Amino acid sequence: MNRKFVIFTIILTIGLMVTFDFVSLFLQSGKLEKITKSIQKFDTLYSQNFRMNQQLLTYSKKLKFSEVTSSQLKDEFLNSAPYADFKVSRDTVKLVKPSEVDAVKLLNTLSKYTNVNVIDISMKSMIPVKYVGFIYKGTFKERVMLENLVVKVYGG
Amino acid sequence: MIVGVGFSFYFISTKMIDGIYENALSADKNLLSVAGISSLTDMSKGEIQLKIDDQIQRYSGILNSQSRTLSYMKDFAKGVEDFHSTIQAINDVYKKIDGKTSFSYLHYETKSASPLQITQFIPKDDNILNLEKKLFDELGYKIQINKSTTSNWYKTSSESILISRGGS
Repeated sequence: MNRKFVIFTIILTIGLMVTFDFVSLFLQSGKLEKITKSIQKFDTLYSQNFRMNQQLLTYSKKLKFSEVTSSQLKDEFLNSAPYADFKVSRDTVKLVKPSEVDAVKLLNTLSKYTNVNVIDISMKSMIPVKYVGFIYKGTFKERVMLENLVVKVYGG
Repeated sequence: MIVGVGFSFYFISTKMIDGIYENALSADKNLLSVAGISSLTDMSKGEIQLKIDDQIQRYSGILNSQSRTLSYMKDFAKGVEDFHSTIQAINDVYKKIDGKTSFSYLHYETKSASPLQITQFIPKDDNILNLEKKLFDELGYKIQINKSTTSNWYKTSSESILISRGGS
């Protein structure tokens, strides 16, 4: 009886130990597997972040190559259209009402900066305006009305 | 003794598994230090998991915001480039037909399939339009003539044209 009890206890102990080991190993490896998967996900996000930063830097350099502020741009617009009223609101410069403009000078200004996005511009003349090229020579005498102008300035 | 053997088996097995994972993760040391994990052995697995999850959440937020900024910058840069190249193109074309074109209207809009609209006057009975079409075409732009009226006063014809960017 005693002998049988001892054998039974030994077998039971071995059985319990094996079960405990396998359960523990299973849980342990499960935790580590989760960590590895999380690190892989983090690695992907980290690499994407690096590539994104490179692209942001490239575009930032591109836009800031020749930059101007909203208020400086407004002053330059006033050189082309001295009687016009421009409203600056955050990153947007907008013409308030139609006004006479030196069209060539204005187009030169708008083509000069890399951080100015022309959203909308329209100009009208009652008399056909002779083309003299967009390099300002001070010979553009025809009366041109600036009807609409909305630009956005990157960086404000 | 049996208990001792059992624990030894457990201890050796877990250490082996840890070793395999640590080996695999050693390549990510840089990444782990970004997450504030200097050593895999000094921290519990729960702590490691928590720190990495924090970083995943943080970088997901950063990426969302960066993605929006990049998209805005790309659109902005494209708008700038489109305007500059369109103005350059009409400058190049009209330089070549200098003295034969006059304008009465110009309209440019960023968000439009045909962003540039011009009303121009050219001499009557002159083949300027064909030359103009050819020159724009060479630069990758397509022009579409909308209407044509003649004026005896100026001895010109008036064309309203639409210029599409990037050719088509």
